[in-house]
Amino acid sequence: MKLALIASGLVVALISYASQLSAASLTINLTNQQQQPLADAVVELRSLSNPELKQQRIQVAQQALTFVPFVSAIPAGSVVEFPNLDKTRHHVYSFSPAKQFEIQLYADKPEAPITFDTPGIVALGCNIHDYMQAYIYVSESNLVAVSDGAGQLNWPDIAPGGYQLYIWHPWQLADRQPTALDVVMPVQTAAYTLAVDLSQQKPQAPQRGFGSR
Amino acid sequence: MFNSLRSKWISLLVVLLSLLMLLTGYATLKSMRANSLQQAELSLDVASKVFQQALDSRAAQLTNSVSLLAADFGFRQAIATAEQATIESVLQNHGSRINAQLALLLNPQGELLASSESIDTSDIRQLLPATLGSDAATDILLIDGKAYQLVLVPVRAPVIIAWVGMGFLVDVPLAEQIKGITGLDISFTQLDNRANQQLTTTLPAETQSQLISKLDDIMRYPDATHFAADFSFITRGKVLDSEQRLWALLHMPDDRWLSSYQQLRRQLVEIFAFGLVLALIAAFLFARSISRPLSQLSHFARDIGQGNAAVPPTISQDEIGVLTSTLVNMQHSIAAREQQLRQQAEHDTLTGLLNRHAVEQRLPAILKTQRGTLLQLNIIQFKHINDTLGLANGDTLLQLLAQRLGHHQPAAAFCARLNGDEFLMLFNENLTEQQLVDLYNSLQPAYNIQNSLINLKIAIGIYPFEPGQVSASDALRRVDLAQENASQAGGGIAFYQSGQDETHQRELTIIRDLPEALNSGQLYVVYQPKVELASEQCHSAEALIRWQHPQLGFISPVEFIATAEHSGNISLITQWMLKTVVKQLAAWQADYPTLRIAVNLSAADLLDQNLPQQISTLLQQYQVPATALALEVTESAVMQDTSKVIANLNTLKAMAINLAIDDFGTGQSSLAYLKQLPVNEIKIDRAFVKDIETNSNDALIVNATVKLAHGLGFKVTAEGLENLAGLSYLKESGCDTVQGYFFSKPLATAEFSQWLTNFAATAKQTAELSE
Repeated sequence: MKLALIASGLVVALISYASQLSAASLTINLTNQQQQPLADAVVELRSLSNPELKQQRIQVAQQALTFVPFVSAIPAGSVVEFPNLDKTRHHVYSFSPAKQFEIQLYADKPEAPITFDTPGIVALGCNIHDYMQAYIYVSESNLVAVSDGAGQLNWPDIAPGGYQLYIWHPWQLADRQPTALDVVMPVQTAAYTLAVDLSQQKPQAPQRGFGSR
Repeated sequence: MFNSLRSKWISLLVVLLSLLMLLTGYATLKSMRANSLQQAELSLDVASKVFQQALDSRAAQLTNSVSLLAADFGFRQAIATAEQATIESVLQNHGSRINAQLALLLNPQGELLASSESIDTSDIRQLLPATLGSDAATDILLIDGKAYQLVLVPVRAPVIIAWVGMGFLVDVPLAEQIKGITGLDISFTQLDNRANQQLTTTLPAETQSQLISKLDDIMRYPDATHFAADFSFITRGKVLDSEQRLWALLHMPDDRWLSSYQQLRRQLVEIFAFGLVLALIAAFLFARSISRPLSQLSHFARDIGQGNAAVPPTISQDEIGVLTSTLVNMQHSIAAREQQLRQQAEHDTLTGLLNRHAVEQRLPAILKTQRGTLLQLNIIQFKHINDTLGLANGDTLLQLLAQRLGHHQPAAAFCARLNGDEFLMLFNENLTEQQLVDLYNSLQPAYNIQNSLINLKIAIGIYPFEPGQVSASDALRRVDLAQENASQAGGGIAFYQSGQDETHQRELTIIRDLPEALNSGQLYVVYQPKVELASEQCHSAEALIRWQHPQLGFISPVEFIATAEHSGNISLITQWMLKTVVKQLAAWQADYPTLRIAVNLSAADLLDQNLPQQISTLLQQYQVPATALALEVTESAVMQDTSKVIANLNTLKAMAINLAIDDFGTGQSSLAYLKQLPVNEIKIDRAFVKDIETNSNDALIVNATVKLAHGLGFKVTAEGLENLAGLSYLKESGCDTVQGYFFSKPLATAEFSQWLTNFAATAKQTAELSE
């Protein structure tokens, strides 16, 4: 009993230490199956506490006949603008279950932003330029980010605690099951590997002899 | 068939040519066929590529169409709606827009969302990975028993939201379309379900069934060229799908690739036939140019061989000509040698006249057709002349005589030398007596032999003949007989006398038959008693020989003994006589122990030194005393070789054999010999006895002879007493014994025995009466 008390006391102490830790920095490094940095991967951390989602407002521009950025991640309920920076018209659409829409985008004539309130993955296409592709990851959590060119993500100020970690990449070969991640240290790093189709490349505007950017 | 040179030559040429042409033709045709086949295979290769190209091009075209469809926003939008009815209608609408016979839609996981036909997706799903890289996959698939060219294209929005597939039937219109490009017939078939095989083909209906039976073979080897004798196409199978279940067969008709080959073959056969005909004609002509002269030569040689007057074929300049000249030379040589041989065969080498052989050859024809005269000449005593002058001079003499005969006029038809000194002449006419005398005279003048003049005595026998009357041998014999007569006359001319020939024939028969007659009992002995005048008793007899010839009848002993003496056979008769008599004496020894039988000996017997020994042996053999045997010899026989005969007689006398001189008084012996002769008895010839009672001279001779003989110590026997009157004269003259018909003719053995018995009895009676 005493031993139990001691144990429970230790747990409490730990928790109390954690609760005492007001913020931590989490860095995650992602690599593909060849141990090379994996860019454009989305990592979502869902906490057990399930805090209220904070709406964001981001842009997915059409620039140089591509979507920029290639992958975006937002919490559900966020708003996305589709500014057309090209001279051509774009006809952006999505037939993804999370959000279906289509907007005709004329140069220099911004349309109203679109709200993505259902979590899921939305594949964006352009009906005029078939090769154009982009993805918007609509998450259930506020803690969602896209890896940079070094395959790294960083949350500098994250509440310590237990999280479910989701990783997604447009070229992934299979859906990845979420893994648990406890953030207990003030500065914590983690590394993950995701197998992707290495033959895929990010969409680019074909080098054509006619038309203009 | 192949015996003649011509057929051998023709056969050889034809066989060689055929062989050459067949080999050439075979090689040419084989390479031509291989070439044609290679070209055909090349064509098939090209066609196969074109076919593949056509399929690929269609696939590309279809892919474009389907890709366009998949990119259509409305289409993608409709798929995105996920409304089944909408999706199906969209699929149908777009499918018909590009004339697809099959339209289907798969979700990204490969599950069937919609289809115009009810299908199993497992075939299709394997195509999906292929689409990831290239955005489209095409294959030919067997769906529900039908072959489709299927194009599968992902529908991206922009991620893959579905797979849209469009199928186009692989059918006859497609085959026709490709046939239009390649020019080849095309069939589509499936590996499965061979039992109720469905062909999709551009082939005419009647060849389809033939093709079905070949499918097993064809589909065993993809991309190989297939031949079949009963199928007038060459075929190449081509696998259409990845599982090798669908095949396209490309057919090239045989006549297309074989036509040049067949044309060449036809031309070769024509050339072959033409060449063969030419070769046959050439071979025939050439063979005839060889075989005809050879055949002529062969006839020529055969004519030469048969001795015919052969005319040689024309002499050409080639080897045949050489052979012809050789044969002609041979012909001349043969003729010359034949002439020489005939000359040698027909002519006498010494005189150059014809020989006996030639006479015998020529005479029959002459005797048959014409009249003429045969003359046979010989030289009297030629042997003596030869001995005297020498053989060489004898020959010269014959040559000189031959010359005179040859030069005689009128000329003889021919002159011949028969043998030795015998010549024959034939005249084609009957010569007059004067002509014959002239001929004879012409031979009389002396002959000059090494400056010695020799006179010849010539005997000529003459035989004139009429056509067809005598044979050659008869004629020669007759002229020979005539010449012999002339010779015996000591020369001169003698004609053949009719009948001479028959006498001659009889002599020949006697000579021929004598030995046989001695053995067969035709000859027998008779005995004529000799009676002693003083005692009127008979103690001796003369054995005489008799011959009863089966054809000639009774032959006089005078005749056949003379003939036997001439022919040298007399010793046969003497031997036989002695043996027969001695045998008989042995038989009579018991009854007439004092009987003595006399046997006649001829001159030849007396010259035989073995005679005494033979007689002695004979006597001993039959146990007959020598005193029982008497031998009689003629005067003339003794005169032959007196000393030798006397020696023989002495021997015989010493053996105690009684010896008598027969026919005494008729010979030419001198009395001087008489005293030397060791004889016991003389027998006075019948010539002096038979007429003694009437002829006083005979009586005188007999008286004198008896006295002479008695004086010399000989007994005397008179032969030929025929009557009683003579007996008294003989008694008076003092003869010791008498032999003759008065007492008895010669008697056969049994009769003689009987006579002896009777005579003894009579003598006894007479004696008793006289007492």
